[in-house]
This record gives sequence, C-alpha cells and structure tokens, in this order.
Amino acid sequence: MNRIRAAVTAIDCNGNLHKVSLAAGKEMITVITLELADDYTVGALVDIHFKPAHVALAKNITGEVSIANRLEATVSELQKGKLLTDILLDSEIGKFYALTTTEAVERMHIAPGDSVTALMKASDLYLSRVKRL
Amino acid sequence: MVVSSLKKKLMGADGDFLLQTNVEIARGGITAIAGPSGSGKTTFLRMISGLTSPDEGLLEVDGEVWFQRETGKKTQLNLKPQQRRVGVVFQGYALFPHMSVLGNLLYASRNSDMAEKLLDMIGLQQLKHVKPPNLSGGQKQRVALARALMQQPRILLLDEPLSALDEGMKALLQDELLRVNSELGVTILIVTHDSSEMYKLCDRVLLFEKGQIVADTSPRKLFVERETTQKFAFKGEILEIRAVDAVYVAVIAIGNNLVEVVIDSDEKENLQAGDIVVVGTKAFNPTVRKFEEQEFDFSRL
Repeated sequence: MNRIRAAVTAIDCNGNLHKVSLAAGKEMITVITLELADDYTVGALVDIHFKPAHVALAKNITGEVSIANRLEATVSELQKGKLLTDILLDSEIGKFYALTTTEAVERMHIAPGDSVTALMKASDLYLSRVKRL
Repeated sequence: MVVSSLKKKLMGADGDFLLQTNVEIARGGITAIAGPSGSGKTTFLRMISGLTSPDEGLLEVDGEVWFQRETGKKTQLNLKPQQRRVGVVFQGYALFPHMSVLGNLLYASRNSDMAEKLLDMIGLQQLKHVKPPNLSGGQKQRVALARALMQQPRILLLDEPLSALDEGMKALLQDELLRVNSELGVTILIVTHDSSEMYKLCDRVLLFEKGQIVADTSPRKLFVERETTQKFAFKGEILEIRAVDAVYVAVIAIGNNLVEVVIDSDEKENLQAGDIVVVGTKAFNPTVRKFEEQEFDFSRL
C-alpha cells in the first residue's frame, strides 16, 4: 500500500459523504470518503493510502480526464511479470508504486527515467490520521 | 438417536439413482436436510415417517426398530406410520377446515393438557376456537406444528415448513421451532433451501445430491468458512439504504458487524432494506493492516 503524507486544507461534506482536500508539498490531492472522524480538521496531518493497482499511468497526457488526482513522477524501477508489472515511481512527494498490465507497459514503452503522470481517483484513496508522538 | 441405513431406488429426471442414507442423528438436535430438488430429501423424510417403504436397510429410533429388511430377504419389520412416533409438517397446511384450532389438535390426540400446553408454547391460545379458513398462513403453520407435536413424537419432520411465509413470520416461527426443540427435546429434521434458516436453527446439515449424503457438517462450515476462504464475499442483510449526494449508502449487517457500502442507482433499483445480499469485492481491492486496540471491536457486543 502506498503512503503519502499530507495536510488537510479543506473539508466539504454532504450527509456523511466527505470531500477532503489535501496538500502534499506543492501537490493538491482530493479524497472522497464516507464517515470521517472528528479529529480530521483543516491543518491536520494525515497519511493518504492507495493501492498500486489503483494507480493509472499516462505519458504525454493531453485533453481532459475526469480523474481528480494527477502526480508527475519519474519511473525508477520496473518489476515485470508475465501479466502484471509493478512500477516504482519517484515524485516530489515521495516514492510510490503503480501496478499495471505488462501489455500496457510495453505498449507505452515505459522504461526507467521516463516522465509519467500518475492518475488516482478520489474514491480510491484512503486516509489515516498521523498520531502525535 | 436415529440410526438410518436405508436404501431405495428412485427415478430421477436423468435416470434412476439409488438413495442411500447411512447416518446417525443424535437425539434432541435440529438437522437440516439440504440439496437440490430431486436429490431424495423428501423421500428420506417419508421413509422415516413410514409413508414410503425403503427397498432395504435399517431404521432405528431411540433403540426401537421401525424398519428392517436385509438384502435379498423379506421385510422383517415395517411399522405403520401411526405406530411410529413421528410428527410431520409440510409446506401445505392440511388442517381440517371445519374444526377449530383446538379441534384440530384434539383430533391428533385426545389429550387436553397437552393441547393447552402447546397452545401456550406456540402462542395460539387466543385463536383456539377459530377455524383454519380464518387464519393467516403463519397461524395455520403454527397450528400444523402444534398438531404434529400432540402425539409427543420422538422425531419432528418438517418439509420446507416456512418457505411460503414472509420474512417476519418466518423469523417468528423459527424462534418457536427453537423453543419447541429446547423445551420438548424433540429431534427435528427440516428440509430447507434457506441458508440463513439453516444457520439460525440447525446444528448440522446433511447435504443430499443424487441420493447420496455428500456433506455432513455444521451450517457455519458449509456456508461461512467455505465461502470466505474461496473469495472475498460475505452474506449480509441490508438494514437501510440512504440517498447521499449522487450515490446511495447501504448499511449492511454482516454477522455481527455493521458496514456501510456505497451503491449506485442501478444496484439500488433491485435492493431494499431486509434483503439478504452478498457483499463482495475483488481480491485486489481490500486493504489489510494490523488490528489496533483502540478500534471498535464488534465481536465484543
């Protein structure tokens, strides 16, 4: 599971559905979640968790895409399987993995050193509160 | 204790098959007889009640032989249905329409003390002078149950007794069956297709397939443990569906846990509170992390 540390910048809700806006470095990230504990307030430090299988990759992306979150990253390592490839990415806000089909990796000629855009849907991200020591 | 090693050739949709029931059932339990239609479940009950004769084998109930015929020999013993202490309830009610509830009970056995006891136990005291045509389906089935218990049977055979009833009435009668079982200590065999009914009532499930008992286990092992080890899917009950923003949120009881699941409008169309559902996800989706002490532990409820 990938983890990125971020600070809450805004919380918008409708019933028990919440949209949490977060800042990680210069990147803005949006998370959609059901119940949110009371101690998630603006300024709170949280970890954003997401599964590698929930990260899509794009190269030279143009046009509009509905996916809320985009992170610019560099391909650092590839762990190729017959069907799936685990890709380690390096971004300004840390390292994380993307799991995608080996077919897509070959079609997009993804190799170490490439610049890619990682796309994550807001509803695929989880939050956990960073505990104070 | 019921000891059965009965055999009977049956005609099935795709050819003849042999019904073979080598099983011992402890006294006082509730055993589910499950399996697809035409697998021999009802014939098994009819052989116990004496309504259908086995080809051969032995049937012994609490040390008393009810049927015996060794291979290649004449039938040594075959008690008539009325000589066997068996109570039977089927899906149809088969009550005498012109007799009151009390009359129906006393027709089975002229024991007014027993009738009063059962009317109390099964909650029919208010209805004892009413005639069956004026009763609801659930009430008729309770009368049928009380009548089946009038002769103080050693075994109570139930063939899909609750399948025609709505969920609320079903739950009520399930509670009554549990009470009858614990207060009277009668051994119950119930044919049912309803896995939650098996889970709630039965300590054992005999799964029939083409005349053979292919599984003999607890409802939990059969439904819960097997399903969850094979795939990430849980049986639950929808308690509530709320519209939230552009989606719907279903509150679902899974075992003793309550979970919230976002459902889309298409899923919502076919679902409502009270529905028994399977909540599942692909193996890629669940997140797994160590349990933390401060998390709310539903298992302590």
